Amino acid sequence: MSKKFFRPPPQAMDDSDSEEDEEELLDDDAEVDDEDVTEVSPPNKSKPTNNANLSESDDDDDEPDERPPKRKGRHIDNNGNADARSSNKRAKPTSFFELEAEASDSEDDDADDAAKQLHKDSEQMDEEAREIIRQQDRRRAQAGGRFDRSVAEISADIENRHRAQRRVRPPMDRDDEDDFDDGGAPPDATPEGYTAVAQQSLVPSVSDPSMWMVSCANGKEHELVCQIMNKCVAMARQGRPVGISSAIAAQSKGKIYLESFSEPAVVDAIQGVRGLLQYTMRLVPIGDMTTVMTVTSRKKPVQKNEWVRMTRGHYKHDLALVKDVKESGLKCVVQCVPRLDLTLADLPPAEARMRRKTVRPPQKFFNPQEIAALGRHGLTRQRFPGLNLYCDYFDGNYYHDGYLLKEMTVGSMIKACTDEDPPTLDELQRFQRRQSKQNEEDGGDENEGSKMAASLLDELSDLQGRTGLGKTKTGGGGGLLIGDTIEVIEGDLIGMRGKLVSLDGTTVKVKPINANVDLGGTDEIEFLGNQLRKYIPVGAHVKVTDGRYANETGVVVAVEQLDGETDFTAVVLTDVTNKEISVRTSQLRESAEVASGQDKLQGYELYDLVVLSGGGSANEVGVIVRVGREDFTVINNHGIVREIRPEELRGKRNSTSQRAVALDVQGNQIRASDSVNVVEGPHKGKTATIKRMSRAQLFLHSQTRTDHAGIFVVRSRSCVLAGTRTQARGATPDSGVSPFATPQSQSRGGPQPGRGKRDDGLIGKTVRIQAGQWKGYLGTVADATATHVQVELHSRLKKVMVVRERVAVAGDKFGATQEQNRMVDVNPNPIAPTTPFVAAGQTPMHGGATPMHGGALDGDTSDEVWQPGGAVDQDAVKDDDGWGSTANDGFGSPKDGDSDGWGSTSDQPKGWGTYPAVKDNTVKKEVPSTNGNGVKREQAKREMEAELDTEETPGWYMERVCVQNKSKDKQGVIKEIDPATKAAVVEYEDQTFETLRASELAMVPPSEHDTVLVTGGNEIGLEGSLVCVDGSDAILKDANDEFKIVEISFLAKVKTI
Amino acid sequence: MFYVKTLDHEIVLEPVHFGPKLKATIVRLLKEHVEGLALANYGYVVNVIEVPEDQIRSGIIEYDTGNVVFTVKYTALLLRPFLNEVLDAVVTQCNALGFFAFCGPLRIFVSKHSMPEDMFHGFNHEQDAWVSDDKEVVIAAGSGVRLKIKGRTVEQGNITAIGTIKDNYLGLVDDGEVQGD
Repeated sequence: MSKKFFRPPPQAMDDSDSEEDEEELLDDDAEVDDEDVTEVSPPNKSKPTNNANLSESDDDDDEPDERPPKRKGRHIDNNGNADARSSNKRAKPTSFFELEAEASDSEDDDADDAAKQLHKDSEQMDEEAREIIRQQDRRRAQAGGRFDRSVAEISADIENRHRAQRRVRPPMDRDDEDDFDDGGAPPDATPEGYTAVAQQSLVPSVSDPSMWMVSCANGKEHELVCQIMNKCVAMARQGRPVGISSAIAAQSKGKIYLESFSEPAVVDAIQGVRGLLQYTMRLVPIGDMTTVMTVTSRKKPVQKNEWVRMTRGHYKHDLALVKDVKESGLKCVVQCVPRLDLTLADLPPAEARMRRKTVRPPQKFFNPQEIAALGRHGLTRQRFPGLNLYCDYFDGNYYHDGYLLKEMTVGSMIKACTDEDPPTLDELQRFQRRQSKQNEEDGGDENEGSKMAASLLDELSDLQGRTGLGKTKTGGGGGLLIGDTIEVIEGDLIGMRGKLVSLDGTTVKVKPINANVDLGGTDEIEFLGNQLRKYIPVGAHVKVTDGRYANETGVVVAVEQLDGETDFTAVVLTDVTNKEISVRTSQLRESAEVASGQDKLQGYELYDLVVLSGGGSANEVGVIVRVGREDFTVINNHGIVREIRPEELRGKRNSTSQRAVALDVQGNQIRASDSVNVVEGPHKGKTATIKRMSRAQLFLHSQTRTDHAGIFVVRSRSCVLAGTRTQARGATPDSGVSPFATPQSQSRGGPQPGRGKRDDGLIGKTVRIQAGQWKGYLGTVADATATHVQVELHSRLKKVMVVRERVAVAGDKFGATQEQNRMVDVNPNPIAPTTPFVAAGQTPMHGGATPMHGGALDGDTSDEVWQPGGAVDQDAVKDDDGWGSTANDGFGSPKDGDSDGWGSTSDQPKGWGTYPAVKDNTVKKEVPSTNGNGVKREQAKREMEAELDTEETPGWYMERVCVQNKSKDKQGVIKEIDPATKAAVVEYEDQTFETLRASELAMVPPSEHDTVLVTGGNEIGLEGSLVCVDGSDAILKDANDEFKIVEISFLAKVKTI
Repeated sequence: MFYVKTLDHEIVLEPVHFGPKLKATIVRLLKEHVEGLALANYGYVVNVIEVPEDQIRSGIIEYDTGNVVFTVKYTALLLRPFLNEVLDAVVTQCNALGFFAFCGPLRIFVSKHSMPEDMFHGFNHEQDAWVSDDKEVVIAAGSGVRLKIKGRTVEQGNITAIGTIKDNYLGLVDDGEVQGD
């Protein structure tokens, strides 16, 4: 290759000189063409460098094998016409160069390479560069010369050579010579065979110019290459040639490549070319140079009348027909069924935007009359740009015959329907239905549209025959397998069924099932493949083996023959998604298999709880209800269904869902895989299983629902746990079994061995100690005897023995639960509750960490009870009335008004904070009582309360707690609490004592630096000093100088001893 | 079809249960285990009719666990759907693809393709019901239908079937209003 550099430097860089030469050459070539076509070496190789690759490479490819005989011929007939070119070349300095280059091309072996090296070393780089440039110039001139020939000739020529090349070589090799060529290989070739060795020799080596890569803006590649070329030409004219041998825009986006022997030359060449990022210049390693020029077979370009699918927007996955291809396949005009949302215009912009994002309008044919009827403006008739079609123009889009016509970018907006994903029957029918209708309608009018539609229909049926539908017909029996049940559809035995015994090319052997066919002694009959069809009975469980629905399984609900089809279509109800799909019977196989996990896509499966990214809210989660080929359909926590690509998902939350616990409307704990009834909202009355849950949102699954794979979204508070309700909530005798136990815990506690004891039900339950040293503490019952229970305290690492009577069940093993006592239906007999907690409020999860509020259900009692162990209402905290001393408010009955926890008369100072509604209540109820007659009232109250067999005391009601006498506004400390009467001895600051009941006392709100005791929540029992209060949270420092954050409502001020 | 059959079942008992009430425990556990279950070959066990206690054989102690395995024979009332069997079932839900009907524990789906032609397009969204073209026949939740089993799917512990009402003498037999709920 480097031999060419032996050529003496050209006299001048003047193009005209060489051009003349080349023109002569070309003329000769043309003559040769006439005489002997096969011998021709066409000059068309000399396109501008940037896109010359293919044709030039062809030429070069031809060379190696072809050369020796030809060379011989040429040498012999050196002066003859047949090889006019070589003789010409000989005669002029330029031709020498070419010949030498040819020779170098034909050299395959290493010896030559070595020789090249030698030669090269002795050469000057400048000269080489200039050589190359000259050569390019010459080529360019040849390109000009090409036009001497007729277009037809040239194209025929190219085609010939292309065909020859196709025959011989695998497509991959092509690129190698591209490189070679761009590196300055001489354009000379004949259309003959190649060898792999010859190809190898074309791979760039160190002796070839190096290649640099420069980045640029996407889409500017061609333009920039042209600019560089122009620059080169201009510089050359000025006598200062740029030392690059080529500039190429290969297939890679945003990159152009320059070839040169020297880096400064490249820098020089790209200097001042706007749009090139000079600093990105990078040398391409020799090994990668072929890759740069590798022509990857482009995705199948779309062609007119092909089916394509949309890939974006509302039209995603919609079928469309290519009406026209533009910009050499980059764009095309497609025709599809429009998805117009006519309501959008009526909505305010913000809503419209939301709707546009979320709602996918259904496919519906465009009807101009309808638009006009709606009173919309802007409907005009316009010609579709580029097509000779008059269309309805509305809202920026063109509609023709009801179809939407739109120009789309191939690749990004649409892609061709592949063989794996051909148009389905459904889609074609949806596409076609209109046309048959239109035919009928327009048939009477005889207008232009009807003809169009008719031809379109023809086109369609024609296409339909060519695409998916025709395929099975030619399949020789349509996917028959040995063992299939078949039905004879042709011949004498039509209608007979049998089992396929063997398959042999086109003939098959069948063993009939019906014995009543007289077979004349044989039990197998031969048929031709096309005389049979696969027989799929209704009701069979099948698996789809092929096509769009491949690997789906389901039950055949119907088998029908569509018009004009020989094949039968089965309607299959799928197992998992409960959808109906239409599949050709040839694509089905009877199978007991159930596609359960169905598809996985990038690690995600059907029914996975996933976190969604984007969409505004950070915590959007959803459940996958369909796994597509490249995306999912996800129903999110608001019940909105979206299509989502795997990249948009941010992981699964299945395990979280498995652990999660929520509360139903009655406060029952519900978990995944529980069965619930929906009691309100749009899904009211449905029964379903909890498939997944996220916070308070339940993703319910119902087998009988068909949409979204049976998943729908309901708030947990709209559900009731199904089953076991009556046992769970009735007036349970105080057997120790929590009336709030979830069904699981009950069933778990069911027939278990080893429990002969009466109170085994108490073991494992969360209880609250009601009196004594450990009063108020929550714990789990570790063991139980007839008289005592051993309680493992939540807050202390300690087990304490407590008399059985002194514990009250506060929840199941999962934590404390409390029942709202106002719910009449829950506890019909509130007068005689067995334990204070039977009908107490709410069911906070896990030891009451989560404040829940049930009291809102009954407004008029307005008992914002402050209860430790959970049950603190948000409102209560907000209203600051959480501190009210509210002992057994209304526990007897509301009429006992005095037991109202807010129990002070209106003119007396309240604990702190007031609550208007309560106040009113109180006033009314306290009418009989007289001011200043506190003691009497207290007495009465005490008596009254004594009648109640139980009394609920607030959580802070224990020794050492600082309290305030509500009636006297005096502060003191509880010194002692009588476990029997629940009365407290309060020591006032003035060292006086008084015995008071819990209802008469209010807790003193802790302030900063006070010593406080945590009476509820996770940190129950903790003692520390209050550091500061932040909203509803308090920060306190415990004995170990550790900081804890506790809800302020759980704090009680205690007196430091 | 309902039928009675004698079946075997293995019960594993922990030693705690050994005692005077052993056999009663076995019978209780058997019922708990088996009733409501769908046995692949026999259909749903609707009821355990009888567990002859004299036929409870002495158990075998499992070497590893100390549990005892009893093999129990019992007679059970079974419900097994047969192909082409005609059943009466109660419709529980209608959707755009057809309706679900229950015959006891057995769920049967009737596709719109398996309905008479005049009902094929008859799904009424407001009523959630299938209505024939002449509005004479309304199949909604609660209706009784007579249908023919066309296929079965046996899953773990569950059998579902698909049926058809597209045949003579099949279809609505009770509009559901008489029976109240």
